[in-house]
Amino acid sequence: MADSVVLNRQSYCKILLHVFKYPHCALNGLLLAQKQKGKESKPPHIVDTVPLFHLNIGLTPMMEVALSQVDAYCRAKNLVIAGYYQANESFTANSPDLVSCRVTEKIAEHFGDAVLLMVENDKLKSEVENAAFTVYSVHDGKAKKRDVHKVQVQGAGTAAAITATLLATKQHWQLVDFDNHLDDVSLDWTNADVCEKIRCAL
Amino acid sequence: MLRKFRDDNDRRSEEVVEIYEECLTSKMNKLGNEKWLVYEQVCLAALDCSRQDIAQKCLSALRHQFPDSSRVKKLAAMQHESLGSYERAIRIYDSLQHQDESSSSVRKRRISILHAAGKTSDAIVELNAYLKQFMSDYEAWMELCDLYISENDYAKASYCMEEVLLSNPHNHLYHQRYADIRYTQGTIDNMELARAHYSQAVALNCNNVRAMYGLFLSASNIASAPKSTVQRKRDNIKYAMWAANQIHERYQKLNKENDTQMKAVDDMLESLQFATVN
Repeated sequence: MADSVVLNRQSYCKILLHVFKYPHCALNGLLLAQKQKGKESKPPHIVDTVPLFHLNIGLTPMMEVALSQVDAYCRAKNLVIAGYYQANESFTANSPDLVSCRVTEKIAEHFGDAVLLMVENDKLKSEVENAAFTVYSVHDGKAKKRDVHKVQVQGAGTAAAITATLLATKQHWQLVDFDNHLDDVSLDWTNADVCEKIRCAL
Repeated sequence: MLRKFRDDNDRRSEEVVEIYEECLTSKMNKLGNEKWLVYEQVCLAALDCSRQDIAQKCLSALRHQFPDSSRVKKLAAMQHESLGSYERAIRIYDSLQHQDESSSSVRKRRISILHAAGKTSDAIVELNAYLKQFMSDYEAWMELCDLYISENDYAKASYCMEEVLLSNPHNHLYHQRYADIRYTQGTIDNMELARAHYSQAVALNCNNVRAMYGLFLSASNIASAPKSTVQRKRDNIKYAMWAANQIHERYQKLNKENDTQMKAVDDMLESLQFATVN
C-alpha cells in the first residue's frame, strides 16, 4: 500500500480548471496513471485526469457509462484508472461522502493503490499548492484519510503559475467534462486542446 | 447581452462582472430605467464571485434609489450570507418574512442558508414545510430531490421527481432524471421503470444522449438478470441493441479523427452486449 501520491503538472492544472469552471457545483473526475508491468509503482504517479460530472454526481447510470469509456480509453493508451477526485458543493465541506468512497472502493478492486483526492475548497485561494487536496486511500475496502503532506505536485511552483495563466486566458471555459460531452457528443472529454495549451505553457 | 443572461436565468457571474467592469462602470446612467435591473444583476454576480467591492457599490446605489424596498433588503442579506455572517442574514430575512408572509423567495433563501451551513437535514425539513404551502413550486421540488440524492435517500428523491414529472410530463429531462434515480436504486422493478422512462425521454427528444445510454444500460441489465423470463430477455436485448446502434450512429456522424474515443464507445457497447448474450 503506497502512502503518497504524485501529480504531474497537467493533471494538477486540469483538476483546478474544472473546479474553476463550475465554482458553484459539486464535481468529480478520474485520475489516470501509467500502467506498470508487474509490480505497481510506488507511489502512484498520476499523469492525466478526466473531468467527469458537475450536474449531479450522486447518480450511477452516467457514472457507469463514463467509467467504462474511460477504461476502454485507458486500455488503448496503456493507462490505468488510479483514483478519483471530488470537490463538494459547499465551500466549507471537504470530507468525502458516500459516493466518493464507493467509487474509489470500486476503482480499488482493479487498482490496489487507488486514491481519493478531495479538493479543499476553502484552501484553494492561498498560494500553497499542495494543501488544496486531501488524500484518502483504501484499506480493507474502506477509504481512510492520509497525511496531507504526502501529495506531491511535480514542479509545484510552475504548475500553480501555469494554472494562473490559463485562468487569466479563460481556458477553464474550454475544458470539457463528461457532462458537457453528453450534452454534445462532439466535445472531447480527453481535452486534447487544453492539454496542448498546458504543454505550451511549460 | 446582460439582459439575455438575466432572462435565460444563466448563472455566468464571472462574465457579468467582467462586462460590468469593462464597459458599464462609466456608462451606467445611459441605461435609463434598466439601470436598476442591471445593478441588481451585477450585485448578485459580484456576490457570487466574492467581489465585495463591486457588490457594495451596486448595493449602495440601489439603496439610495429604493430605501424601503424589500428586494434591496434581500440583496443586503445575501451580502451578509456571502461574508459568512449567516445570523445577520437570517435576522433580515426574519423581518422581511414578518412583513410579507407569502414571500417565497425569502423562505427559499433561509433554506439555502441551512444548506450552505452544511445542515442538509434541517434544510430538508424546512423545504418540506415550504412545499406544503407552495405545492406548485417545481424548482423547489427539484431542489428537494437534489438534497435527498446528496443524502443518498433515493426513494424520497424519486417521489419528488414524480411530483415534477406530473407538472410537466412532456419534458424529456425530467423523465431522464427520474429514470437516473430509479436506476440508481437498482432493483429489477426499478430497472423496468428506469427503462420505461428512458424510452419516454428518447421518444420526446431523440437527441438526449444520456437517455440513450440509460436505455441501453437498463435494458442490458434486465436482459442479463437471472430472473428474467426468456421473452423478457429477448425483448430487452432488442431494446439494448437498438440503443447501441443509435449511439454508434451518433458518434459515427461526427466522423472525427478522434478514433480513440470512438473505439472507447464501441468497446463499451460491445463488452456490455457480450455480457447480455451470455
